[in-house]
Amino acid sequence: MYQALDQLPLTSAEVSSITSGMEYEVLVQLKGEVLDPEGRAIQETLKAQGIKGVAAIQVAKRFVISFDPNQSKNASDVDHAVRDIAERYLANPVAQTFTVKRLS
Amino acid sequence: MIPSTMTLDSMRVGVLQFPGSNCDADCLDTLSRHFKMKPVTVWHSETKLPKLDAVVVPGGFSYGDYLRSGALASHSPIMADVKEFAAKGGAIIGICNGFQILVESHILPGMLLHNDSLKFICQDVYLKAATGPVVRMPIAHGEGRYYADEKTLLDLQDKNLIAFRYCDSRGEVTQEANPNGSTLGIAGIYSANKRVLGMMPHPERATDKLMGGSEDGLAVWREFLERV
Repeated sequence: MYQALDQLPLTSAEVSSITSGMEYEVLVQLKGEVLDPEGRAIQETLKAQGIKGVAAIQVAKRFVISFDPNQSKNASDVDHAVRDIAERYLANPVAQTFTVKRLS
Repeated sequence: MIPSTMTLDSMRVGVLQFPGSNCDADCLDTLSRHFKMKPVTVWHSETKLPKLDAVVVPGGFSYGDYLRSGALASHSPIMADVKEFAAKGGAIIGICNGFQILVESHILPGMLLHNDSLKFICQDVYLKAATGPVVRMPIAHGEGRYYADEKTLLDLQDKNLIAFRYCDSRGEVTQEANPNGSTLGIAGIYSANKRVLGMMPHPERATDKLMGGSEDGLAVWREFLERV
């Protein structure tokens, strides 16, 4: 991570080489049964503004993970790697769930 | 209370330091000044703990609280050996961010979520321990709402592993006395073997009348150290 920071700013060729790789979106949010106070606060505000019918709001954190095309060839390997990253690092299964979507 | 600190001063205690730890100095001060120990510090990038009788995981904002409080620190190089130390029955106390690091490392069960008020809370609280009198000390956290599934909570209750619950000055555990929405008012828990203690309140900040608060933190330290 620090090494990558040292190399900034990236050249446009380097940026396009990164972004032309596979890209995934991971959404992490609290499990349904766990109180999400941020979502509730937003919902209460909407209600106070006179907006009717909003039953619940759940806040999620979005991660976009881009893979280096020179290192990741096999899509199913990358799928697996993303799932592993989400499970072990991005979400804590005690109170959170996550979804993974391939963007490109 | 024990009559002297003689039995404790030879104990080897290590205080971990992560980028963003800020209660490490207070813990070192408590151990050296009040318990006459010579604690050592252990930097997060070390891979091996020195020979220790107990480990302190201090509070602060390790890695800027990025991702989740304690989440990135739980993957620090030193934590692999801390997990090993815990698995072998080593004694550990994790305070505030240290507690968050211990749950993120799965050394203790459950998780610490954003306070239900969404506010960072810095105030004195009363705590009811499993045994002993009501004690008073500060909390200072934004993510201190203890959460665990029902099975874990039942297990903690059945095995008497809830170390502290938020209470009022008379020792009543009430909703009003619960500052952050913690399940069952849990402020601290023990591991199954009772060797690891994690707590959100700061006993190291309640060791001197000079600071204007209570000295009840000393009893928490003494109890932990004596058990070591």
